Amino acid sequence: MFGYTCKRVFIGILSLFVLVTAAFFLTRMMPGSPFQTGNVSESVLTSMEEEYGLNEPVFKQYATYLSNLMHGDLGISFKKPGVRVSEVITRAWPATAALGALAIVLAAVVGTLLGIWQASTKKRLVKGGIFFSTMLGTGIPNFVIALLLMLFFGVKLKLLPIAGLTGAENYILPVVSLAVYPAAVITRLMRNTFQEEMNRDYVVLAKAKGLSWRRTAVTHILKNAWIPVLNYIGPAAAFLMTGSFVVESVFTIPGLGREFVNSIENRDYTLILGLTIFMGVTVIGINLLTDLLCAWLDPRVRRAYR
Amino acid sequence: MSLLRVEDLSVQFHDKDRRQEAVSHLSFEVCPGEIVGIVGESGSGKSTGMHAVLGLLPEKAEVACERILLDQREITPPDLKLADRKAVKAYERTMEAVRGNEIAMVFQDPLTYLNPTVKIGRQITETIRAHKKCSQKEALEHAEELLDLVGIRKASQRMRQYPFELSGGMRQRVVIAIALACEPKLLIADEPTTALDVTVQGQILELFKKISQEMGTAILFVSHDLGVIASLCRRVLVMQAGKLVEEGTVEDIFYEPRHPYTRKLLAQASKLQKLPENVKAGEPLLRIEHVSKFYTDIGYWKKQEKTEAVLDVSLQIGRGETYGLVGESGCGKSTLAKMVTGLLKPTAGRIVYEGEKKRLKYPIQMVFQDPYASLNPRMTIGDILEEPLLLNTEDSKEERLRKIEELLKLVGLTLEDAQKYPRAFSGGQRQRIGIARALILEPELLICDEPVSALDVSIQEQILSLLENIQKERGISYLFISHDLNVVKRISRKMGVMYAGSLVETGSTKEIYSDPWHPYTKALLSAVLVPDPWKARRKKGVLHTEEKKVEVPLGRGCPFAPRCGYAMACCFTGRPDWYQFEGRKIACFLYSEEHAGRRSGSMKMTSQI
Amino acid sequence: MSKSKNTDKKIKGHLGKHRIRLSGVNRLFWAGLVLLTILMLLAVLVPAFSPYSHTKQSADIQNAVSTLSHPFGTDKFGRDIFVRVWYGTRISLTVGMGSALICGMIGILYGSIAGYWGGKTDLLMMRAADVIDAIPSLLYVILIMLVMGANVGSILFGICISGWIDLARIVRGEVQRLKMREFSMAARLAGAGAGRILWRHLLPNAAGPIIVNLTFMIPKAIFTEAFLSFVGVGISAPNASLGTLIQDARSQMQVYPFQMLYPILVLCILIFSMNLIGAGLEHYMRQMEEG
Repeated sequence: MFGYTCKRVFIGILSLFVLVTAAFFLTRMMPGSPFQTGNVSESVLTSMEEEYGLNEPVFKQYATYLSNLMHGDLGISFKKPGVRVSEVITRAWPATAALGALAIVLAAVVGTLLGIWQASTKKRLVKGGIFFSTMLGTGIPNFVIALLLMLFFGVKLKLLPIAGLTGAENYILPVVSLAVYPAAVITRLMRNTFQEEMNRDYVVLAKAKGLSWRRTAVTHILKNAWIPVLNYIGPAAAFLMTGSFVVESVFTIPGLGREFVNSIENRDYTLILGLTIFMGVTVIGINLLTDLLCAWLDPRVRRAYR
Repeated sequence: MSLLRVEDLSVQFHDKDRRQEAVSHLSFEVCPGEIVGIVGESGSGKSTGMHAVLGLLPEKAEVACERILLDQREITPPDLKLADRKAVKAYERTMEAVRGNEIAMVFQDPLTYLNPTVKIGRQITETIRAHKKCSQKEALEHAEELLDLVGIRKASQRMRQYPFELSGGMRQRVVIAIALACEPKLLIADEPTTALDVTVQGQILELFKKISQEMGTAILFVSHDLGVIASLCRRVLVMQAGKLVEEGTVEDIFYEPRHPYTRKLLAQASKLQKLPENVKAGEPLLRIEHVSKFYTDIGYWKKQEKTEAVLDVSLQIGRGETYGLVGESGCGKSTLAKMVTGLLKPTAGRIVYEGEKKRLKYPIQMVFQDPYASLNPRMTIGDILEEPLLLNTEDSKEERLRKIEELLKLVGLTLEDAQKYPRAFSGGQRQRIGIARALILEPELLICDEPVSALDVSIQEQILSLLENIQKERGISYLFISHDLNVVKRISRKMGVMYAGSLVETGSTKEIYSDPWHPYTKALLSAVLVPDPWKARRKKGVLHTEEKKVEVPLGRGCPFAPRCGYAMACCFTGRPDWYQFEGRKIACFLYSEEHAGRRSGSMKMTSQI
Repeated sequence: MSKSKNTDKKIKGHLGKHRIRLSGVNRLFWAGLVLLTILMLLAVLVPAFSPYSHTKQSADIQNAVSTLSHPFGTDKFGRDIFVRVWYGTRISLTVGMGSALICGMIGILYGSIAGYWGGKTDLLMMRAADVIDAIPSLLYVILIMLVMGANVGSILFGICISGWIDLARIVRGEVQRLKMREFSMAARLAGAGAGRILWRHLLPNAAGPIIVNLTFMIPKAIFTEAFLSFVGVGISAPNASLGTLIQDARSQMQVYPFQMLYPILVLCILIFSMNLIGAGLEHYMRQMEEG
């Protein structure tokens, strides 16, 4: 387990380095100067660039950026002078994290239950109904779900608030629209693996031991069937991040996603870079944790990974 | 009074629009403490019937039964079509109390039947706790006792391990321990030794005998192997195509069989018992000289590990001869075969091939073990047979077709079969196609790597005689590899015995079988079960605790020394040389000059064990 | 477009070989295929033969409701939404099929090489893939879009940076598994080289998982494009993609909801049809495995 952890952490750090490098050079390659907005004179431009260190050679800038990054310094926003990128993140992060965490918990619970239900029921209607719902869930883009939910519950029925994040009821629509897609994916995954594991020989042995079906399902089948689902949590985290772009802009929530979309619209390069790196780190970290968790649950993973 | 009484049990499988009767009108009973054998070929419904008794069949199976009584209590499965949900639930509830507690079951493949992600200890204790009220600690103590009982050493350490960390024999012992957890009255064993090596099989059978004697458990033993049945059971049921065709004491069945099917089975089995005649070998065709193969595992932090698969093997195969190579799983015989064909490169030593077809990239062809994996399911038989011709010869289309037809005819198929895909054929037919493919480039040496071990006994015989006929017709040589001593005895005139990557004894088949010299050969031969209950009973088995995983030691010592009853001090410190006596070669210190004494030219060596 | 026909043919050939009955599973597949074909035809034909162009504005018919000449009505600049929707579908299909084609080729090639040669090559290649895969693909896409400009090419490029990795892993696993099967050893003995073994023996046997993965890759790419356009990083005005159309109509959502609902409907049917095909194939493969 120790060796496996080392290898995975090493891969994680390497990915991080690649991400930082790629993101840095890509933002430097973007066309136009960040300060070129209409009627700025040449001399102001040069002095601005000097102030931000943009007149130095690219590799020197990169080295400076990296060393600042080591100290947790992501630089200063180009467009909002004096605002540090890390401040933006600490301000916007809690809302996004809360939405994301709620959504993934909701998706995992609903997905697992529906998946098991679909795999173990004999009623064709239930099977078909759940199957059709997962098809819908994976077929409708999250921004469409967000818009439709808002249109129906917010605008037509006026049941739920459609903007801001002030009270508990404000969370319902964003969390649901975030959770639909991962819930559908988890349902499908769970059904597939559960059905597969149900037909394994060890289930026959468990039955031959005299264990009840419920006990077999919980202690034997679920233990194996959960591993692929757990593996999906990493990609799901990446998905929630993209989802937060949409959901936050649709429901006007002051989160990380909205900051990111705004920074793109403003071409605020340091902010784009900083947010990209922050989100990349988060996803890489979650990926790493779920990988380690899977290896801990399933000894075969550790053995197969060289 | 009977312990288990089954009356008129039938099982049908629904497969979309096909209906298949797996078991029809099966009735039998088992008395307390007796060992009953059920024998039949694959597909005879023997294990389906046993699963049905415990209600373990999947839902697509339709079980109809007059009555099943356990100790006068009714455990008849309800008819799913007629019964209401309540009856089904009530049946399930009774069975939960019966399974594992009163009737326990042991299965064929211990690897797939153990949950790969649950530790051994948990898998045993949960059985105990499902039926008895006790704390986890008591259950753990009991589990340790059970592992001790089935002959696993260091029980407390084993309990913390996962199934894949144990060897096949140990896993089967664990499954047996699970079955014994609640001291059941009846143990149903479904081919429990089929997936194991012969020597391990012997141990597991001894364990069953011990359980029957010490615990008074009745055992219902399902097997296709008449030898196993003869050595263990008192009463035998013979099944064919889902029906019970004959029932009687083991003596009746083996010495006075009445039903023609039983007679056929016995005749096939005894055909394998005859010893072959010695023949003169032709000039050498293949020489293997001091060949070794090491595998290196790659890993990026740790030092690269070396494991040996084959160590210093030398042998010779003459023209027109069949050389049998025997050894248990993992002894390196398949690696050796791949090196001979050239699929693998030996790490040391050399292989000299004297055949005329040396210009081909792979002049030596091979017949594989698994007839289902050896044919590409996405190619027609014609394509499969044509491929070697396309890649190695300049034959025209007509020429290729002619050769394909000729070979298909040789192995007993027709040209029409060339259009079909492999799935249209049975296992035996596929193996024939595999033989045709191996022969199409007209090799002078054919390697047969366990070509019959996946087939039923009656099909085995067909394939073996086909191979013999081809040899007569074309004069080719075989290197015939098998773990099955009976099969090697049936087909080869000369043979070698491999253990842990080394060859330990070579010589004529007849001499080795009638008088084994190497302790390992002797152990191997004595583990072979003969389909003769009297002979089998005379054989005294010793139950060892736990077989070791066959580990190939690096360099020093005789590999068999840790398991050998005759081991001396020198066996652990140095590798034995080859000692040659006429046609026989042996690698064992018992035959060294120091041990057997200085020999004069005229002295005749005899077995030292 | 040619890719889709190719896949269809492959799928049909594959299904034909096994002579399967029209069971419920295949109904899914065929329903998806029919839907997709209709959408593809509309996407090709409508912009080509319609009297209106997708960019031409006309001040006199702003925000018109559905009529015979404008089946989906017009938007706030008086552009015909019907033409714009099908033009957008074209872009979605191009992105979807294009990325499946490119990722398919890279993934199969990469996975085959890693799986077949194994050892150190495999170790290095798969670790490299791990590194690329750990970074969320959307970040690549956004950065690439910002650097290379908002067009179909840069979306494709962005998606393809990491889109092939899943497929490469699947192909590698299948090749590793099949390589050890006895029929590929027999092929080596017959004298077949690596290329022939991969092409004739291993990949045809891995076709099932590969095709299923490719069919699910298409809706994912369409999803990404629509999402980017919706957020405002994707295809930019006056060109229309389905995501752009939905975003444009959002400001008038409460007054003219249908301007938004038409593109949403088409987008959902498009993704839905692909998912149907994928699910049908997946079911079929599982049935094949079970025998």
